[in-house]
Amino acid sequence: MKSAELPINENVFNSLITGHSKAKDMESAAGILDIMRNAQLEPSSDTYTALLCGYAENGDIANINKYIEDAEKRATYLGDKDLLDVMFTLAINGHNEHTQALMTKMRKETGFNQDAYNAVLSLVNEGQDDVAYQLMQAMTRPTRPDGTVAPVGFFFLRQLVKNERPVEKLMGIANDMQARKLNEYALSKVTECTLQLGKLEHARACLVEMKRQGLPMRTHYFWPILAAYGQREDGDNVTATLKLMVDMECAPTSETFTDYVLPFLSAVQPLDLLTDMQAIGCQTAQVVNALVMHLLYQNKITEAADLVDKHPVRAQSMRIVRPLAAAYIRSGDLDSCLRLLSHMCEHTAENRERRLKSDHAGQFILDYVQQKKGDGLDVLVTAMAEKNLKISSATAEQVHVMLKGNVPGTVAQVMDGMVSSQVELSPEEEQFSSFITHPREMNVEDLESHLIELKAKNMNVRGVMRHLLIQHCRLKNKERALEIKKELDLEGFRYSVGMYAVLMDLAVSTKDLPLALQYKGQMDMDATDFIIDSHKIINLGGLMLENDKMSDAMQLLVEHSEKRGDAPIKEALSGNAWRLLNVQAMRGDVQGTQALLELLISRGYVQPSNMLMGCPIKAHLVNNDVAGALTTFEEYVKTYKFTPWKNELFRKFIELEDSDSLQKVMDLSSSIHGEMNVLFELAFAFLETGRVKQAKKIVETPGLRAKMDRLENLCEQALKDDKFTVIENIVTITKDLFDIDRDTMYYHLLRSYRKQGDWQKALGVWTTMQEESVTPSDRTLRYLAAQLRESGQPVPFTVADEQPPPQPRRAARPAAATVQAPPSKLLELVKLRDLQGAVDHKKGLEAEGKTLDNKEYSNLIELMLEEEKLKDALALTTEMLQQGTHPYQRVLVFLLSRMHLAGDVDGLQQLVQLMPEALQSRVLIHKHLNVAYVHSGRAEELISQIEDKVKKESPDIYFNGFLFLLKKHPEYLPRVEALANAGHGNLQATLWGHYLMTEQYESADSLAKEHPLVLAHVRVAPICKEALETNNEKMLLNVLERVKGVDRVSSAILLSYLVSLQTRNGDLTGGLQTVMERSKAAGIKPSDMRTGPLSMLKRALEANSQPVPFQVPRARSSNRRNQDSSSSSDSSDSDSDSDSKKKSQPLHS
Amino acid sequence: MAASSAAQAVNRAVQKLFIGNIPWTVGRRELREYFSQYGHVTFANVLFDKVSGMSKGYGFIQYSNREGYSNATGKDSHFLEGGQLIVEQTGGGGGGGGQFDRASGRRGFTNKVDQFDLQNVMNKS
Repeated sequence: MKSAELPINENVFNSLITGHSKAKDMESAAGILDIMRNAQLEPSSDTYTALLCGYAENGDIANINKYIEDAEKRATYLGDKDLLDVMFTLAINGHNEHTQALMTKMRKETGFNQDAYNAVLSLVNEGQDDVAYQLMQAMTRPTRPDGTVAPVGFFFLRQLVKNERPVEKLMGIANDMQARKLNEYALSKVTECTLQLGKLEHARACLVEMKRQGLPMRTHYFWPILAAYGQREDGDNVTATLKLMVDMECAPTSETFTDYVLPFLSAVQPLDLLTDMQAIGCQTAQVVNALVMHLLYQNKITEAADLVDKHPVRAQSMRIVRPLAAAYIRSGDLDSCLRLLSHMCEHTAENRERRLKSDHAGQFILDYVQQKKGDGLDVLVTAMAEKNLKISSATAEQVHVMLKGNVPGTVAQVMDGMVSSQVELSPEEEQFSSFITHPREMNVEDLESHLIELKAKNMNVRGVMRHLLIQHCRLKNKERALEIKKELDLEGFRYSVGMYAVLMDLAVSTKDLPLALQYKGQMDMDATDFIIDSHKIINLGGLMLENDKMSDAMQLLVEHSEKRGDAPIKEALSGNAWRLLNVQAMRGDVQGTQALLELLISRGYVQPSNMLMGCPIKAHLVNNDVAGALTTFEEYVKTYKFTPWKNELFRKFIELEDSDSLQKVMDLSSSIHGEMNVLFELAFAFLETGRVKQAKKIVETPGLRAKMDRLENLCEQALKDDKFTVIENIVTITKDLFDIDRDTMYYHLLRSYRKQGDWQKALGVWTTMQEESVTPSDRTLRYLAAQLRESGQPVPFTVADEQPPPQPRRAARPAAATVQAPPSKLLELVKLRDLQGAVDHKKGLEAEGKTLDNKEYSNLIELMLEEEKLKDALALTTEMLQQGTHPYQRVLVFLLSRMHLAGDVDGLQQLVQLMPEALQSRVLIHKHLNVAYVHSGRAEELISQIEDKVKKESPDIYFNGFLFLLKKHPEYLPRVEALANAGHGNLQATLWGHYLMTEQYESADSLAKEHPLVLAHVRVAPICKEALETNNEKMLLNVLERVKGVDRVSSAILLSYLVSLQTRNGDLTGGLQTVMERSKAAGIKPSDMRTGPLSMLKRALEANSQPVPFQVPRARSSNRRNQDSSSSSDSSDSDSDSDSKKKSQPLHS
Repeated sequence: MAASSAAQAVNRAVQKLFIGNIPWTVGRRELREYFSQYGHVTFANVLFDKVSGMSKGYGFIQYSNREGYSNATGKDSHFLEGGQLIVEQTGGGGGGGGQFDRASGRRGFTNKVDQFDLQNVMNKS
């Protein structure tokens, strides 16, 4: 090597040591150290490690110790990882007796655990379990937040299971770990691993051991075993496992059967299976319930019913009712279905302690109605009634709701007969029921018209009247409700308790206390075990308070809660409770309010909340007792961890300039909400009280990050409350803050001005933004433009796109814009492509004095263009422009393209006259015009005109489209060059592009040399398109060579096209090189390039199973949209030639 | 009875918790038992993979009232059968912002403000 002048470095020596060691020549190995020192190379820790490992292979602990000392003496630092390597070598060469000695030498510095972890895994792989176990124990044990040590070694156990250790060994280590208090869950972990890794025999043994150690056995421990055997269709082992479960006093549940046994044993006959299961000691009820469900899933209702008849076990009705309804709908087997349903209602396995029975029959009906609506319902309920099945009144009502009041008369009657107060939808059923909808959905109009119909036919109207009464009561139509009641009274209708309750509620809501009390009396007289909704009682209590009957109200609440018992309240009562408390609070009755609040909480009506506990504080403030308010506030913070009425207290103390109390409210609130949140609220309170300076100080507090969403919330809140100055102030004080989206802030300010109808101020915002050099977003501009137009003011700027933007996900859009107009007749005709019909319809509309809207016009024009009716489209567009509007930009560009292809110079010139300037430049009309000249063979005329204008220094000279001109007529090149030399930058750039496209590199370079700005003006897109069409990779490379480093946008576009071209030509290596290297050389990140070519390359690479070393950036929808709309409307033979175009290229830097 | 079901649904969602990192030994019943120490649990489940039969290691519980919910979320850490449970609010879009920090202190703004002097703010200078 020396003779070959190769450098001899440390690595070479290290390898030499290893080589000598392998040859068992340790003397020479150790000699290398001296040779290195002679060569002025200090042996490194790697050198020592190589040598130590050599000794380790031979188990020479004496030399190991010697050289470890030697290294230390020479200040060569041996890390834990090095020593672990040595120890590993010792272990795998059978010198376990020395490993302990090495372990003691380790320093356990940072990173030791990770290295040791890897070593443990490797040792287990090498079969050195004991050493691995020792090492595992030497690892540092993590502690938990509460100071106890966490269990360790899960990874070790897992590795052992993975490496197929015998179950005795596994359990031995697990038990040892438990005995050493390393990990009390070791055995359970081993079991988990055996289950996960499908070592079923091991798993069974482990479970037995767990049981032996007195750990609880749980059904789900056996599910993986059952599932695995089941999937192998190993029925014997499934049975054996079930038997094991029974033996281990962990009898299989019906869930075990339905989910993990029956799906895999479909071949076995149900009755045989039951016999088998009974033989091994499974509980009949569990098996039968599972079988019933299993049969129902297969629509075998008869078999299910037979099974239950034969083995009348308690049914797990709640789980069965849904599959039953589904099976009935599919099979229509009413007889068997009812047999099963009756059984379920009679023999249900649910909690016996419940006062009321669960409404399984009702749930069944609801399931049925949800799928089948009223179809066949009469047959079903009649049959159910004959079987004497009962349902709850809630179910009956729900059926009406779901059928929108169109319940056949017979069904309603039969159902009324089925209703029993002994049945209720159980809380669980309700929880899973998707049927509970708001009663308002039931349509009163439908009911009323139904009533008239029934009356006309002289049919029984009671059912409908009853429903109408309830509905009108709910809708607070007192007059109509009492009218119906009178009618019912005349007929001697017997009101149910529930109806009295509804009537009482109506009286309460119309503030008629005597009437309410009258109905309540009737209700109390009648009632057996009926319990009225709690909110109705609270509302009644509120009415009593309004009539100064405090003690009556208290008594009412106590009585109701006693009657109700301990059943959990399922209503949201906070709102009602607040109204009740507020009555008293507004009177300044602190004690009364507190007493009522305590009563409501202690009797379980409500949970404590900010809203409710604000009431006593409010009462204090009504009395102007701020000290009392603060004391109560503090008490609530400490007892309930709530901060009621916080913002009001803030404002109060700010107004009183009582900074001590303010500080106290702050500290208390901070302990609950965190300081940041409270500071924002405090700032807001300062703003609300008009103390802008103080608010500003707060938002400028160091460390308080201005959160845009918080600020927006504040604005939103202020806007809602019409606090317009507050918004102005928010915008002002956040002006100099870092990381604030100023545009959004101004947007909120604009909203506030719009709400106030002040367009002058709104326009002022626009000016201010320009002064602050904040670029207004399209949203902001659109919003402002809309307001100006509303106020009949001119709009002094152009709005990028008049169409509503794609909705940002959580943007707050003004409400008016979201209203959807009904689809117009005209649009429908356009959709049907009935052009003549559409035109006639338009005429008809105009005869009525109506005009088309923008969308209708645009769609009609588009259809005309598609039908090649260019003249008509132009006429219609002209009509719009004369009215001061224009078609969608997309449609307009479509029209212009068609016109330039047709060479319609005159038509385009007409349009130029009609279009506002901003629109002209947006749709590049002059490009279209110039191209039209070329297409109509009037290029000479165009050139002469322009030469003339240049001579006259006329301001309206447009060179757009000249690239196309040169392509068609290269003979004009000298004249164009002459024009360019007159100093028109855009034309120079066009010229440069032409040179490149025609491979006149010298001319291009000298032009660029003369006018360096040319390169920055060049639009590369047309060149790229040309290159793509002519498959000219070289053209792209030549352009790239020249613009890279000058224009990032252009470079990114060029690279993108290059990737496209290369991928298309199957040159994946080249494509990859472009993405990875060429882009780097041009200073472009792959993420700046276009998504399309990148994903094209990615797909090609993947198709060839090659790695994809780059990421395709996510497409930006807005940019893509611009991109597509403009490029698709570009006809391929014209060039795109404008600055605005360039801006729309997707470059994300 | 259905008068306030929408509000109830909201309440329920608020009182429902996602529980993650559940040890494999813990089933529905064990989860319910553990969380019952904080209040009345109306609903508890652990999800199982129907194909492998193994626990998916997560589940849900729901309290009948705010109290149980607050008690459970107010505790710093939950250990059950050797695993540290992850306890998170469900539904309602996750709360976001600083909404949740009352319960756990885990969401919202965690970093403290460097210096805040109310007196200084109140001074009208």
